[in-house]
Parts: sequence; structure tokens; C-alpha cells
Amino acid sequence: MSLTHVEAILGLCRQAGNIMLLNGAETSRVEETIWRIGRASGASSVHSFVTPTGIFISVEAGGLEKTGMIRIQGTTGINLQKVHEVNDLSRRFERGQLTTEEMAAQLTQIEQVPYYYRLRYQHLAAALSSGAFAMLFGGLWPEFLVGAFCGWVTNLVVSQFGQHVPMFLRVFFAALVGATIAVLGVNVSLATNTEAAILGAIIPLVPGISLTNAVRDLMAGELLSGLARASEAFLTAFAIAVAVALVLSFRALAWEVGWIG
Amino acid sequence: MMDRLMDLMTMQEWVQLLMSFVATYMYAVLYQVPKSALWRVGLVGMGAWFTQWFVLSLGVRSVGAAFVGGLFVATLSELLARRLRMPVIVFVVGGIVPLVPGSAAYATMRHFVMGENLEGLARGTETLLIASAISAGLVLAGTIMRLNRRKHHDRTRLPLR
Repeated sequence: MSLTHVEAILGLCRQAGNIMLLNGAETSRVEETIWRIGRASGASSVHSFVTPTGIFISVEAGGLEKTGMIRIQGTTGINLQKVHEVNDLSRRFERGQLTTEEMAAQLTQIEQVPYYYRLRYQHLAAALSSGAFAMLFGGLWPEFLVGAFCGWVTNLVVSQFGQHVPMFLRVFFAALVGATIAVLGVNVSLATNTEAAILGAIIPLVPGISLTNAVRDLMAGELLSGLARASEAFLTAFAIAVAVALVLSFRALAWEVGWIG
Repeated sequence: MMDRLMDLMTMQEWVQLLMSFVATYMYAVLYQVPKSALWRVGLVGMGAWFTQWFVLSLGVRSVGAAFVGGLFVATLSELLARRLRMPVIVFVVGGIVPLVPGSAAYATMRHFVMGENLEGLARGTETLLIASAISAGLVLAGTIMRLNRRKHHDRTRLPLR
């Protein structure tokens, strides 16, 4: 067991953990995967400390110990397909169906695939999802159409921002644009139910992943990550709420002044 | 059973049931859920909406209905995840979305904007309670479902080889 071998194990663990965490896996699953990969490649002990913003891994094999960390900076997008693939890969690796080199190659391959469904399908999905939610929240077919259009715009706006824009601002602006169009749509009598239209418009922004991960992390005893995820979910929800409140108060103001009917 | 359901649900509610499937399915596409799991995620979401609707129609208040909805989502997701050998989160993320307290949250914002702070606080509390109830349902069912899983491995002490 040479030093390069220990380094290879560490690199493998780091790469897998990075992919999983960036694409929306919960902390306990990332730790479990790192542990599984490390054990399968012959390490006598693997310690990992995973938080939503960084991973620390310590691998010991053959009396040698290496420690490494990787900083996680803002995800580019949730991709549960990748989480599933890495999870699956680690299990196959554990069963000895892959060599270390094959594993590294596969991980790099997974890392390089941008997304599973094309971007325009995602926008279409956002539109249909928004329309359907507008109906769930009491709308009818006109609200479906307005909600779908607004959801499409919202998703388009949120995907236009780069990584340097903070998450709060991204969500805020997208919700602002979506809610404004929804209110305008109701105002020109395309739809009648403002509530349904606005709720449809903001659906693509709902922090489903953060919320689920917060619950699952807290459940697994990962208090630090759980609280971090919960605050992420809360911040996103707050950004949406502020944007909607802003649009609603502008509408109330415009009513009073008499700009709109 | 089916006849009674036909009587119970109005036309709009049937459409909404269908829409809960479409909404969840499409929401799952946004999170790049694996293709083979997509329609199952849709079913989880539809089941969640139906469970919530059914519990509400029994006269239970919205917080209780959200709790039962959360229980349903977590239970079904754990079962599906084991069967398809996929992370549980794949199913939960889509499944809980039809339960999100959108109307309550919207009402909260509207009241605050109108300066009706007391009503706003009341609806805000309701929103928070519903969200907590969903989480509580997820936690309870998830923990119970995990109990009979194989013993969680000790991550620090590994057999030498």
C-alpha cells in the first residue's frame, strides 16, 4: 500500500462526494457513499465530515493516512440522475465489478454530462408544472394558461443568472418577474384568479430539495447540515414571499392611483 | 367504493387529481429525476394530494391533513426507493410538492400587504404549522421505515483487510 494508492482512494472519495453534494444529495448519503468507496478500495479507515459547503475526508490505508478537503461553492443545478448514478456506481464498486481506474473514469464521465433533460424541455416542464399547480390551487383553464406562461418565464429568468449572483437575489428577481406577469395577465382579463396565477408562476422556485434534505439530514442526526439546509429553504421561501408582497403592494397602489382598473 | 368516490368528488376535483400527477411529474423533470422513476414520482404526488384531500373531507383541519400527507409520501417513497434501488430523495422531492401550503402562504402575504397584521400573523402561523406538519410526517414515517433496514454501518471502525 503506497502513498499514491492512498492518494488515489482519497481522490476517488473526493470526486464522488463532490458530484453527489453538488447535485442535491443529502449529507448522510454522501458520507455513506464516501465510506463505501473507501472501504471497497482497501482503506482500513475512512472518516468524512460533510457539510453543504465543504467536505473533509481522511483515509487510512496500510499505516499511511491522507486527509483532504473540498470546498463546495454554489450548485449549478440539482441533478438527481447524477446522484442516483454515483450511488449505483459506488455499490457496483463495492461488489468488485469495477476497478479503481474504471471507477475514476466513470465518475469523470458522470461529472461532465451537463444535464439529463435538455434545457428547453426543462422550461417546458416548468411551464406545465406551473399550469397544473395553478389548477391545484383553485384555478381553471385560463389560470392554467397564464400560470404556465409565467412559470416558463420564471424558470427562464432563474436559469439566466450566473453563479456569481447570490441565490436570494436570483429567486427574488425570478419571482418578481413571474408574479408581475401573472398580475398583468389577470389585469388584462386573461384570467380571473390572481392567487392561482401567482402561485403557479412561482412553483419552479419552491425549495423542494432544500426542504427534503433538511428533514432527512435532521432525521439522520446531521444537525449542522440539517439546520444549514433548513435556513436555505427558509431564505428561498422568504425571497419568494418578499417578491410577491412587493408585486401585490404595487398593484394595490396602482389601484388607488387609478393606473389600472 | 368507486361509486362513493364518484359522488364525493366534483368534476373540478377529478381534474385537480389529474393535475397533481402532471404537476409532480413535471416538477420532477426540473430536478432531473431518472427517467424510469418519473411516472412513479407522479403517482406519489397524486397519492399525496388525494390523501390530503380525503383527510380534509373527513373534517380534519389542514394541519392534520398535511401530516397524514407527509406520512404517505415518506412511506411510499421508502418502498419505491428500495424496490428501484434509488435514493429516497428522488421520490420525496416531487411527492411533497402538492402538499406545499401555497394558499396559506399567499393569504399571509396578502394580509400583510393590506396592513391587516393580525390576520397575516394568524395565516402565517398556519403556514408554518402546515410546513412543520409535513416535515413531522416525513420524519415519523421515514424513521419507522428505516427501523427494519439492515443495521446502519459503523463508519469509523472498519474490518482490516
